[in-house]
Amino acid sequence: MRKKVSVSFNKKFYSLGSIRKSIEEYRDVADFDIEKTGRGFSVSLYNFDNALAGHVGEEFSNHVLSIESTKKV
Amino acid sequence: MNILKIKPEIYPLRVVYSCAYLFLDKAYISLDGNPQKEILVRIKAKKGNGSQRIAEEFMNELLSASLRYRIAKENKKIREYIVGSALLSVAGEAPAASVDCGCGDDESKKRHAAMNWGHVKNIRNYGGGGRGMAKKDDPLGISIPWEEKYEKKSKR
Repeated sequence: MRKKVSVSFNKKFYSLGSIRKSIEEYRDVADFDIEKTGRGFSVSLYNFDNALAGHVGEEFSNHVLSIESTKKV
Repeated sequence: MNILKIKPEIYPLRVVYSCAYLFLDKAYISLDGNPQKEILVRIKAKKGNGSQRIAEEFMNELLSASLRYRIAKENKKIREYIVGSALLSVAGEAPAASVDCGCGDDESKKRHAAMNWGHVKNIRNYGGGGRGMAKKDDPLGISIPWEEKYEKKSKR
């Protein structure tokens, strides 16, 4: 069974552009799916290295936040 | 994991973003809630159980960042003025209104004010205030703008 990690982003704090940019930069790390939800976006990560399984979602979320922060500040 | 509830009227969203950015290397941070009513900051330490300590540091940083933000906002116009005048002085330009090229007719004055460079440079480098001074200190006419020389020749 392939591993999957889902991360949700509130659209009031994270823009789709920042998420897409992060996905672009993380494309060697995992495969991605984006889904629109009521509150924002849900990003699913697949096919990543087992060693990264613990924190890949959180690291990805941090990366999106870093892009969003540099845009806002 | 620690969740901080932040009031945006005390700490603006921009300040929250800049603080979050500072702590990205120490913790996993995510933002949630409502940017108009209440911002929720989830903090989870990357190593060990230090979430509580990082959350406290985050609050301290919020305070200093919001002070910096307020000061920057209050001094914005002064800062812009200082930078603007510094850039103008480096470029060798003075505000257009104070520059007088010394030309007689209005049309030339307008044209030279629009170009600015030629005459202002002459004033700075040769201490002159237009045609008369340039001729006096510059017998070879090196400082006279090209189009002015050309114009004279074509008139003749």
